[in-house]
Amino acid sequence: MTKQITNTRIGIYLCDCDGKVSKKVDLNKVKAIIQGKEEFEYIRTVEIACTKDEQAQITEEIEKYSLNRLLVAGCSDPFIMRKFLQMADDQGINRYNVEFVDLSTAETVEAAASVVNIALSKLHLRAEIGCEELSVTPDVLVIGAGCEADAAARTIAKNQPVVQIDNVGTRVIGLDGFPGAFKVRLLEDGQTVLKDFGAIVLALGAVPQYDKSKYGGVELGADVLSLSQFKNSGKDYTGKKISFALGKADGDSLLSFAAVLKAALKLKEKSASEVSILYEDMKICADGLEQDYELARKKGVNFLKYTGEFQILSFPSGVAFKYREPFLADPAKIVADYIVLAEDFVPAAGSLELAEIFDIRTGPGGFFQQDNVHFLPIRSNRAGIFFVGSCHGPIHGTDLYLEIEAVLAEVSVFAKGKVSVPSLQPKVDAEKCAVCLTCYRSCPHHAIEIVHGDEYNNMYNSAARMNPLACQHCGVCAAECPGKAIQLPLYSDQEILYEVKKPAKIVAYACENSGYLASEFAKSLDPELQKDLQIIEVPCSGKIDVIYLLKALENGADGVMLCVCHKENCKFVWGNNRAEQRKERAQQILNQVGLGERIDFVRVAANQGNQFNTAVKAMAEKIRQSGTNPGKVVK
Amino acid sequence: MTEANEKPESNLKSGSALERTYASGQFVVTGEVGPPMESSFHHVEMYGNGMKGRVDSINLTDNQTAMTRLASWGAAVKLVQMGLEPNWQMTCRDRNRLAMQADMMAAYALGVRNLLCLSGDHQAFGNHPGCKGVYDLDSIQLIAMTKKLRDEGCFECGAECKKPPKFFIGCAANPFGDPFEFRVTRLEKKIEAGADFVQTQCILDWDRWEKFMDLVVKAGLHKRVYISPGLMPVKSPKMARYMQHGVPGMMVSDEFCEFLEKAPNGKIGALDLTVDYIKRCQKMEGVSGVHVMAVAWEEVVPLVVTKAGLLPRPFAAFKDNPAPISDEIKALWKKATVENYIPELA
Amino acid sequence: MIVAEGKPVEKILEMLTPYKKVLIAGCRGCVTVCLTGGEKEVGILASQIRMARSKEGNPIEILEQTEERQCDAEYNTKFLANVEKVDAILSLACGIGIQYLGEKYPSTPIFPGVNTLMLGANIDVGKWEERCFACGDCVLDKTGGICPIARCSKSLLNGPCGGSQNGVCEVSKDVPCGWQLIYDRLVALGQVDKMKEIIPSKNWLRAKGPRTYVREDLTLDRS
Repeated sequence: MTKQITNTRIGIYLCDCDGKVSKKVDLNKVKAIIQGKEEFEYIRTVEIACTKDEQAQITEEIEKYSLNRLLVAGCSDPFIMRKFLQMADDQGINRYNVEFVDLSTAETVEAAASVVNIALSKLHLRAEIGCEELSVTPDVLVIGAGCEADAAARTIAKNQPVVQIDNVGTRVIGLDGFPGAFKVRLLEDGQTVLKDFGAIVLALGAVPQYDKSKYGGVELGADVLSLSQFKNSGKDYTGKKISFALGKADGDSLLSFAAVLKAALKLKEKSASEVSILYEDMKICADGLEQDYELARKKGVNFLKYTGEFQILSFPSGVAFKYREPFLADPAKIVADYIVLAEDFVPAAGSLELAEIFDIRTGPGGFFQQDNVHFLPIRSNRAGIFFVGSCHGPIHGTDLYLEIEAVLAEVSVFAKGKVSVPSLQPKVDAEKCAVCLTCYRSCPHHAIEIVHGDEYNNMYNSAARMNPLACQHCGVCAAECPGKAIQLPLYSDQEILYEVKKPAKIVAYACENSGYLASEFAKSLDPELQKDLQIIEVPCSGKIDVIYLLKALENGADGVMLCVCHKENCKFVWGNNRAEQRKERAQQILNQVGLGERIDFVRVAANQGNQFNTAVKAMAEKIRQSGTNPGKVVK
Repeated sequence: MTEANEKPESNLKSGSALERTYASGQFVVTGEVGPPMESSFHHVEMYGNGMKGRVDSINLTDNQTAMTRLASWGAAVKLVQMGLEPNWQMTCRDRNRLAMQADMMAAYALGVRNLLCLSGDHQAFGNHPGCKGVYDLDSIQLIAMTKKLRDEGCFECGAECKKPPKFFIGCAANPFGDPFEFRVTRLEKKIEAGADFVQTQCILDWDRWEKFMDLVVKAGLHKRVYISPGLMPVKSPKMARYMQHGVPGMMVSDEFCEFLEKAPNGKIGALDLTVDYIKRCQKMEGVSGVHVMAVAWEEVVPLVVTKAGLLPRPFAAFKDNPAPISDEIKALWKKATVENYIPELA
Repeated sequence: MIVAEGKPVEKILEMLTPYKKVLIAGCRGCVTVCLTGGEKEVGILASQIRMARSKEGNPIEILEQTEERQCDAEYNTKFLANVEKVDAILSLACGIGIQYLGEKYPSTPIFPGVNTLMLGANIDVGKWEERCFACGDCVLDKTGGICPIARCSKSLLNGPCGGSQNGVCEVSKDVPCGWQLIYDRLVALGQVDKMKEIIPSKNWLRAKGPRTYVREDLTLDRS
């Protein structure tokens, strides 16, 4: 059921890439095929479309024939594609209405005409993508007390209004709205207050916690202190012997190392006491730590490596560490006046409640931010909500200023009070929307709201709506929608299903962040292998609908692949998990009617070209075992 | 045995031996037989004869664990014909109120006098899991309906029943069910509805039972209803442990399991433990008797009650000449290595 | 809402064996919300059946159409054009819709593509639980707002039975004991004394039909 967009005036340029294409394919024959069947405004073959003269001519033709959509068939050089997009911009053609087709691998006239035809249909089916002008609030909410939050608030305040709360006296109790227009409910002196913010920055810090079980049950006392006790004691340690111990409690924390090195240097400066640092592994892989280490050594701080367990012994005259030095046979002992022990870091109080209120994912240890490289350094799963400092893990506490700069860059987008954003978020057909809340619940970015009004033409006068600033265009909602009410611009069902009307033997739906890039890399390693492979790009594997898998097979493919990101590496949180569930369901559907094993789920990163090829070979083998698809429906 | 038109002793509701024994304040002992899965009274006769003169009355289970068996009412009538006193059991799972009242009138006319009103195990447990569970009434509504017939001479709908059945009404209580703090209230609800006597689930965790009876006595319920805990001789220590861990909802104490594990002969140990529990119950405030439910081991009931010194029974038929033990039962005792438990009986 | 699940495709294929051209009718109401019979599932089932029949060498042509509801006659007229083209209808609406659609087109055989399961709430994406039995005589006022008919496996009005253990029904550890839920709720409301009241036997006439409901004050006289 294809829905054509009216008013498309398409110009088609078939480029020979300076004679490269016509070595295998006669472009005039391709032109003839297209002229014979298809609808378009203007078509021309060119020798080299990217020369200045040709570009000038194309510009004239755009004007002359009032072209509003372009199809450029030839090479797939990104530099040249950018040139065309620039020309489109200059000529007032929406760059989403420009399609590029790679003819370099076409072997026959028919094959070339086929790919051009698919691109042409997509251009016909593509809804117009406009730009939305949105009013936004420049104000930023910084949550947290302490030096991390203060530093963040100070820096951002130079650029736009900032409100800082400690989340204790004034507490967040609710959040509505979307980036640029968050509505935060605060509890202030027993009163509920509603404030508007464009962005929210969490800087709650991490809280040190002494766990005696990490130190063989040793209780803190007069001469055995925790690191925070030591920092806050304000005592005068002139002439005293101080020993620090790192490695037992602080896990991956660079914070403890940074703090201890700073303390050691300060001690050496002020009171020339004897300072020792016991460590298991040196952890100084953050800015400035290596320098601090070098300086500390210069100043005479003792760095003592231990391995395994150590004992803390108490005497009337002081305390001592008894430990195993890795290179000495006998156990070593260091005596001191004070022993300072590093602590665990735990999320600040109220973190879990805040995560729930904000609908943001937490990660290892209950700290904010999942262990997913796409979110580093400062992003959450929600646009407009950011983390700085140790609240997203003690390992991050040492990069505070870099993080604040990154956040500043993001929030300053709202500083002018106005934002312009292309309207790429999914669109909901209210007539088909059952307001079932499935999309609302499935969205990893909390980007969907349910709106009401007479303009929503269904029994509820209501429908789901995707917020243009919050939406990350993954398409998970479109694939989940049971009513087929949601279409993602550039990746509508019509556009994607059109591509598999006459599919290749193997169809691979590939995520543009991983699988698709891997397939390009793979092609350069072994182009022959992709002869019977058709690759369809999706913004996230979460966009891959069960019907996409079935239709490819129904129309004659023998096998289907889903090429997705590795576990916990989905840019959109759980898109690849949804894809896996859909693969399971689709294979189950095939099994129920005896169609054999025909679906492969492949996790591959962008740089894993060889693994991609291995997967293609595996798919081909699977098809060999299952035989040709007996379910192909001949029309 | 009273006929439907005979007036029972003025303060007795049904005139059954069970009721009389409870009312007299003497320690009651009841037994139990599970009817067979076939059209034959052979087992009912065999075990019934074993308990002849040795217990006050005998429970007949009703499609226990939702497995279809010879109907409890049928086995009850058979016992009446044998001169014994049955405790007819009726669950809410298999009948609607029309059938319940119809069966009550027939059973009473045939001489049945004691009726236990139970919810019934869910049909999912049994051999016809897809059958419709009726549950037209729940156990409390069933108790109320039975009482209404007996004391008001009215059917559930209010219409008059000229010759109403007058049953001694029993119910179940589960000291091991949840919510624990509500169990005593639920028992009270059953008493309010009209329950005369209570048989509990078998006691395999003495501490929990004591706690329960504590609450019951505190609430004064023992003064309003007769209470008999269920006691089950558990054949083997392995079975005891299985019930402890493998059966949801069964509470079995370590004390119980360890006693069986330490006993030199597991089966004798099981009997000894039951006898010991009987003795403890006799000393407990609020307990009016015991219900010996030797599930799938009915042949040991005569051994247990004899060893516990509960003979002779005060009002049971054949109390003065309990039936001799049949060869078939003796053979079963031998198989279970308990034939010498009471040498005089062997 | 009404919750339904898809019938196993083997059963559906059996029903459709003699037919060459079939309409799969979806519904935008309850079955869309419970992800069983909306436009998406219609498409998936249609594709599966086409492929299965192609494999058998007995191809089938399937038309797909989804409208607002199948429990209102006016919406069912919208299927007319497609119904005239086919030999049979497979409806993915609930049992109500399937029958009502069938009444509209009595000369075309109609088949159920779903099993209508229960009146349930949507707990989360992909999870639904029964809450109401449509017994016609609501007792929620007596039980703290939790239904003993729908949520107790034995529909006891004076529960729990002896099989309740740790808040779980004797039937399955996946089933919470309805009466434990009621007890906990009444405790939370400070109304635990309600548990002492004996709720009398139920009038099951209200719970089983065929039932009709008429509002005399609202019926339309078109004469």
